[in-house]
Amino acid sequence: MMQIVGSKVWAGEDGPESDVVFTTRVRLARNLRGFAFVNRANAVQSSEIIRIVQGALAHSANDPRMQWFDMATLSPRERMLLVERSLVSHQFAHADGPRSAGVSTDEALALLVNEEDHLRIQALRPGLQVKEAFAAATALDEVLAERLEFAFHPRWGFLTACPTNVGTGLRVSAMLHLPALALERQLPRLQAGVKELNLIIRGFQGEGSTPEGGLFQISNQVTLGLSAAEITDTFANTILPEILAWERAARHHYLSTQRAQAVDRAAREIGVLQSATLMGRDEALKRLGRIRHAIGLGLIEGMALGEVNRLVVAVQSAHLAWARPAAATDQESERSERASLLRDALAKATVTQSSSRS
Amino acid sequence: MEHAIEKGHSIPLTQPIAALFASTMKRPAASATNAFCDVCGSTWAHFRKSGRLGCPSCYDTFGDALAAQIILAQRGSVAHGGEAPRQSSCPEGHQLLRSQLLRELDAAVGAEQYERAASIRDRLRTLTGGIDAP
Ligand SMILES: [Zn+2]
Repeated sequence: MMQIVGSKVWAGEDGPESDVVFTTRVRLARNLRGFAFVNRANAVQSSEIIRIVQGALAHSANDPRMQWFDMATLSPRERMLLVERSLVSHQFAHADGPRSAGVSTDEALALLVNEEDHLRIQALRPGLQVKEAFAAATALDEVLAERLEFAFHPRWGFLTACPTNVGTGLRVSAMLHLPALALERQLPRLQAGVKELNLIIRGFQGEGSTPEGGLFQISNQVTLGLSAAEITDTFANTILPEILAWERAARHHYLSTQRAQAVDRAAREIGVLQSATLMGRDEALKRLGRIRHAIGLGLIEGMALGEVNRLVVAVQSAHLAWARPAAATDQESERSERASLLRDALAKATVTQSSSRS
Repeated sequence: MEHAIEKGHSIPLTQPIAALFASTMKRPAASATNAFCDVCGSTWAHFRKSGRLGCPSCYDTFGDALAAQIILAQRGSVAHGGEAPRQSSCPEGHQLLRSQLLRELDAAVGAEQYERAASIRDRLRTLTGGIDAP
């Protein structure tokens, strides 16, 4: 049975710049030399890759002591739990073939074996922590390289199944909360600017989904030609500060021109979350986004940003279902439990006194 | 700085853009679509459809046609500009994998797991070109 205990990312910590940056993720893609890529490997080869990778870590003096989750033996609900914590992708949770995920005890580091590439090293942090996440991912990469030989090409660098990841295999991304840019109708400009800078922007929870609660994931598109350090430096020191400053300017403008409306909206959100008895997932995420926005504007007290981060994960279906016997899975009891969780969490939240007087 | 051009992520300005894609453009579509990787069996058509290559050797098999696709996807970057893996300069990792595979091959044959043994042999072949080579 699965035991995920203390999550460094979701336990309520919020991290630097957390009023805008929800989480930071760094991912490295690697493949083992002498094997076909995952899409071309048979089950026997894929199982061997899992054994070789687990063996390489177990034999290393620097074994990060991960807990391994074999996708084939997990229930659908257990797999969804990993997805909801951003430890594995939907694709990884539901694909065919042998797949295993190693998760560090603080859940800040995950090693996916046989996703699109043989190895996907992922470091996740709350708030803006590009350097920290990059250091953690690189450390695991180095431990693996002690005993594994990666597919590497003199011209193309680290080889990956999809050439969009080739070179460094590095994807650095930040989950940004940009409600003021949305309110001020700046999103088309952001999207154009982001494209110009060779960045990818997506709605919350990846491709094809709609933005929920103003959350956007921004990541580097180009993985080839620059060093991993250059990519992370540009992202952390040039690109993100600019977007953060832009969002904060939009918040300032919003607050200085529509303060009364902003206070009213915050009060209404608190009211709904404190009294609703049924709530769907999408509605919960949308409302939590607005609460998060209002906390960032200093309009709500009695609730911390980190607590909102925790709730964004806790209101998802598998997390709600976790506390409940397997039989009771109807939609209504889930909606009722979600509403109850939110009522408890928001019990002490109020509109800040100074702002209500304005 | 012999890699000065390759290392940069911009296209050399002295060459017209068409020249960089010349190899893809000149080649009739038929020859590209007929190409397949003799290590993994992947075809160029499969790559164009799925966006996925089948194995490390595909990067050489599909040569210039693939290079043009990579440069497009990577916004003009023409070569890796980052670090090489530590083990590429020393054969230790290679040796380690090889000796591990040989041990696994013994175990698989001993346990009469012939499918697994065949797959291990295939991999040893791609590593060094022969099982008995030191
Ligand atoms: Zn191939």
